[in-house]
Amino acid sequence: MAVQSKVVPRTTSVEKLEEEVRRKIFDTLKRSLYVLRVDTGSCNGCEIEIFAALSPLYDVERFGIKLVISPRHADALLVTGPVTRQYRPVLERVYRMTPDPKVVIAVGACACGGGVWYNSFAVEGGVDRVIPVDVYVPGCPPHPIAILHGILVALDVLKQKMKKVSYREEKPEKEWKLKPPLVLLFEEKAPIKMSWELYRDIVRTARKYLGYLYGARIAKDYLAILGQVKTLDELREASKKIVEAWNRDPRIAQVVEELNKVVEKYFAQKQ
Amino acid sequence: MSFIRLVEYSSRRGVATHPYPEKPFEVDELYRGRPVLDASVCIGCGACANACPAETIRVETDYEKGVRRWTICYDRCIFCARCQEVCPVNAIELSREFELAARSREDLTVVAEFKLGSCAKCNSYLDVSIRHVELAQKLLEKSELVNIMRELAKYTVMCMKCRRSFFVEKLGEATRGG
Repeated sequence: MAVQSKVVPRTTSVEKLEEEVRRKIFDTLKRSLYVLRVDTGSCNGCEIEIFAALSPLYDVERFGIKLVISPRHADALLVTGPVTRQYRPVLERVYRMTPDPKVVIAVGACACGGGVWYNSFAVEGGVDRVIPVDVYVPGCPPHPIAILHGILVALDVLKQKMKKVSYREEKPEKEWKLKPPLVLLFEEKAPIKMSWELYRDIVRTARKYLGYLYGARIAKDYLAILGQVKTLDELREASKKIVEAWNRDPRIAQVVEELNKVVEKYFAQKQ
Repeated sequence: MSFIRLVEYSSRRGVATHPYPEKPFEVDELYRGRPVLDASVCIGCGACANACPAETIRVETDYEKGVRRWTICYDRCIFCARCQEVCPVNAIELSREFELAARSREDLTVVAEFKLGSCAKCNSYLDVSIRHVELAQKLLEKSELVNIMRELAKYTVMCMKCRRSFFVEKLGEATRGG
């Protein structure tokens, strides 16, 4: 019964919205929106997410969106894959076979712009080099909700959230700032003076054992502590706070121990 | 009997479907979504452009306008977080945004321009931004290479040609002196 608490209660307003979408589709088409999934050399990651979108948890069929297997029945094409050279004529034929009006949705990084194969000799590098695309859904693979969002953007139900952002530097002296953990290196009030070499060794050691994500977090916490303590014994005591913040994880404890060794070795060499 | 039990169970449990367009969908804390650039932190070094497997991040030097242009188009981004991993100043981080559907590629683009530094000797543009030079000088101040630090700091504000001629001059002085 622990699972029950996770179920988000459905309100009447969401049912009203679904009804609106169904009504909108029905008014224009007189039936459900039929979607054809076209696989143009995809790795099947996007297909798995498309079928996950059909599962009860996300359920695109509540909007009256239905998968079909023939382009003659389809109103929308859900294209995945980077369009291999072998598949190009087939995709063109599928596009011609689909009756007008039609919507083309490119799902995944490969379909949007070729993905990591964008300049390969064997692929066209994106669906829009072959047929016109209405909506791009980036992601590798996109989340089922992102695919649902893409279809609803194509139907003009939801508004797209992305917008072009451009930034131009005007006064370079004033606009630039440093972010932690690098800003801790230039801390003036710190009792222990840190050098670039020590900073580098701490960050590298934490990353070596924990990877980029957790390593960066531990290094950030550790450097913040190092900026406050006065002696190495104090550092050893204070660094236990990190281990306790991580529920006394033995792996984190080991890494903090390694970091303490790095600092002690550095100051021993200096003297 | 078991079928009746199933019906009873499912009616008790309720509808599992997430009310998506009404309520925002909560993804996991570690979900890798759209990489967001903090332009006030970025130095335009191009480490992310080197690391990007899909080469969707690009850094170009425009000598005519005197800017270093950082661009990303999310269309072929594979959300691998390599850019976050290599960034020396933690300017780019992956957020949890995932609803990236857009009608054109233009909307998926982010452009940031940083001014190029100029050479202290010949006054032509450097290959790096003003921020990059500033950071290099700051780090050199903090370095343990105290003896050669001041010498190296002179090289940071020079273009490649002036660096070469300056080095040759120094080398000549050293050999003549010795």
